[in-house]
Amino acid sequence: MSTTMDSRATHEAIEGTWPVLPKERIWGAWGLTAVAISAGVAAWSYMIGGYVAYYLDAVMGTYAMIAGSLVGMFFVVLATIPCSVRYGVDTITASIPQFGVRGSYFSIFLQYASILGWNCLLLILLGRATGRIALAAGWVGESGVSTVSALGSLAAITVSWLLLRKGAESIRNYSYFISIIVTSLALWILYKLITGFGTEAILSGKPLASSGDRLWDYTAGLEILVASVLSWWPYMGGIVRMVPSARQAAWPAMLCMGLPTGVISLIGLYSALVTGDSDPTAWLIQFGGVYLGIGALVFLAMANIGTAVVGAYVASIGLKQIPVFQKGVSWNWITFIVLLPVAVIAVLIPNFFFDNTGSFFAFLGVFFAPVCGIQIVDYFLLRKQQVNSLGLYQTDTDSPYYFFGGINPAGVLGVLAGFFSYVYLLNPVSYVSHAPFKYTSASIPALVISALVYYGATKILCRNMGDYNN
Amino acid sequence: MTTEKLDPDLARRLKLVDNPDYEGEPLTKKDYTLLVLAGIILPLLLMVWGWQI
Repeated sequence: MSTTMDSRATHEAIEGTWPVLPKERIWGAWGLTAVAISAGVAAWSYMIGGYVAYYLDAVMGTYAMIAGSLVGMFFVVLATIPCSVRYGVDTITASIPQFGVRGSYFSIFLQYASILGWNCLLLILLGRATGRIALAAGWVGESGVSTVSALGSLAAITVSWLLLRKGAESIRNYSYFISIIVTSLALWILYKLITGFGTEAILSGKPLASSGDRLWDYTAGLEILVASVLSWWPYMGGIVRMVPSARQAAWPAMLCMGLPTGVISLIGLYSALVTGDSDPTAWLIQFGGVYLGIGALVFLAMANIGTAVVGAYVASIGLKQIPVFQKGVSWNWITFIVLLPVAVIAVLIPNFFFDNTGSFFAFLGVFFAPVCGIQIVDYFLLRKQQVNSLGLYQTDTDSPYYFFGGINPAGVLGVLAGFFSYVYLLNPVSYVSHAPFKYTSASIPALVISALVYYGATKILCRNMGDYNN
Repeated sequence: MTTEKLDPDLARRLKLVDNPDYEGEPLTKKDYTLLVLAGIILPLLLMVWGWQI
């Protein structure tokens, strides 16, 4: 009986929202490293590099992108790892002290929308690459490309769902395999790029749409990577709680999720500077025919599916915060629910998605800087690294995190302050900026401003609530 | 008084989590120092270096 209860509790922890005890954290440093690489190496990095190519050449772009990836990940690590590793809780649960028991639905929305969007992007990109290869190989004509693309996306989504069926242990196990393959292929693509075009051509490539202000361009390049890497926030809690120590989580996060975003983006940067297209599939086919293109496709498949699965895993855990998903809905059904919208979008409206969601992504991404700032100041300064673990799971007025009607007003004010600060400094859609953006970037000041506003609002509005005095 | 009834297994688990023996190991001062070096100082140096080239 005791064993049955223990295994039930373990199941509720690892595939749900209950705290994961240290003895249940089965990944270890190498396991998390493999999962981090599997998630961190993704073909969306090509697009990120392509955006930087608008503003910077290869040299300044390389420096800005590596710097940006480290800075962004630093703040994500501070915001998520200490609390999630200490208490064994996922990202959404860890955000309850900042946003309140009902306010954390904002975190659920942020996580789900972000991961849904990124998974659509990844799996549509994979589908499109499949169609491009099939056309180049002569397997289909122009009229068949969209069908092949849709089938490619659907196949990838199906594989993702199957990989999720066995939960955290199988994610760790296949991540060993995927991480080795994607790292090797990524380095191989970078090698082909450099030897195929030559360093001369890459180094002499001019930015595609420089603003004319060298400092502005440099800061924009940094900002693109900082903002992109901050988007790892939704992924963190669900995976780092699977290791027993924060050190075993922090370095894989920094070096295997944050840094690879910058390094893989270099492929997109250099490709765009030389060819005008950040996607290397086209020039790989040009250099080595269909077989090199298939190599790129294998990379895309491994990288994108690896990232999509990790995203779907943490999103599924996040959804379990919602009462309707807590009982009676199996893990396989929840993962199916997470992936179904991706399938619908990728198969039925992939072009509409690509053409119309850039703005949505840009604004969504703006929220991660304030959320990180708020979590850092709350956990370290206001709570001195202590939370009330019972209070995280109470949803009524007995919870110290009930605040006003379940919402922490300081969290709302902090997010709004950070959001409007960011949008003032840099409109994420039009990229119109205001001073002092070129000296400060946008994410970093937004993070700091939101932290300050949250701190002040907490001191004024939440004096006798929120469990700050304990 | 708590009006909401938690699952008994969850309640048991939460009692354990309050005990440091059942918590994850935190970052040390050295870890934080190294993180600041990697996440703030190194990027700053990279940006300065890149600007001067």
